[in-house]
Amino acid sequence: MTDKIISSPLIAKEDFHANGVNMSSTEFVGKLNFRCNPDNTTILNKVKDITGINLPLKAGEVFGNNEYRIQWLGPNEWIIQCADDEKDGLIDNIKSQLSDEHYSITDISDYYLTIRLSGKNSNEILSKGTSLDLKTYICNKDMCAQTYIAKATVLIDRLSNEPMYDISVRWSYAEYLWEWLVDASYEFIE
Amino acid sequence: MFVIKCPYCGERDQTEFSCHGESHIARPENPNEVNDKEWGEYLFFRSNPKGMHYERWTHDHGCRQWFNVKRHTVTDKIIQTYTMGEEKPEDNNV
Repeated sequence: MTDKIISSPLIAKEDFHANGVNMSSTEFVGKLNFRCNPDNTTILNKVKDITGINLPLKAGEVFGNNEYRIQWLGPNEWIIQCADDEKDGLIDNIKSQLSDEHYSITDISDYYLTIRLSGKNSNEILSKGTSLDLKTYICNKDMCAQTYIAKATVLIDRLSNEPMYDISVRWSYAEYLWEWLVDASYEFIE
Repeated sequence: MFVIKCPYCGERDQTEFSCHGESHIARPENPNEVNDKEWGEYLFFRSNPKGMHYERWTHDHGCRQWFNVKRHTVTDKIIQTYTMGEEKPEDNNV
């Protein structure tokens, strides 16, 4: 096997700490798209056995433990996050345990980059670019929503009750969104 | 802001959605047995009403699911949204 080339559009960006926000990029996280019929309890139980977490069945729910974090994308679609070097093992494990079931698992780790946004002005800055009602859909930790920020489709995952978000964005939009967020923060220059 | 209620995610801005034409159009069970006129009507002819219209929409920038919308074409008011497979609601609210 050839060596992996590790790069990202955000790798040269220095963490941004100003104007009441902190931004950093957390790339190289394993992300697996998992789809199945949510009424199939056999699959739900097996996934729970493998990861230790239930698949969230309510809109915008996120369940996590030390190893995994599962985000709700739709009524039959989830993202399972894990460490980058564990994803191949997890895929093999799921494939071997669910061999008789109807489901799909896809490695999408390289589709998305994640920008971590925190700080007291993060909500104001997000509101400038998205029509999502932040106070309803991502008001507390472990809530996520797919929407768009400044025309870039994103998945926003709230990590704590203080404003702290992981914004997953398409690789090709990542630099644009990063610059947009930095630019948006200058309204709150201190 | 024009808000649409996705049956899965809740109320979101209309810019997250797109419309894909009339819903509740059943494909003929045996395409070989229908004549050209009936097949043409299935493919190309739509009701285009002034009043209540039933449409298929997707939540493109959200859960990416398909669902149905009951919308009044004059007032643009969305009366109801419901999931695929649910029965077509009656045409009583105007």
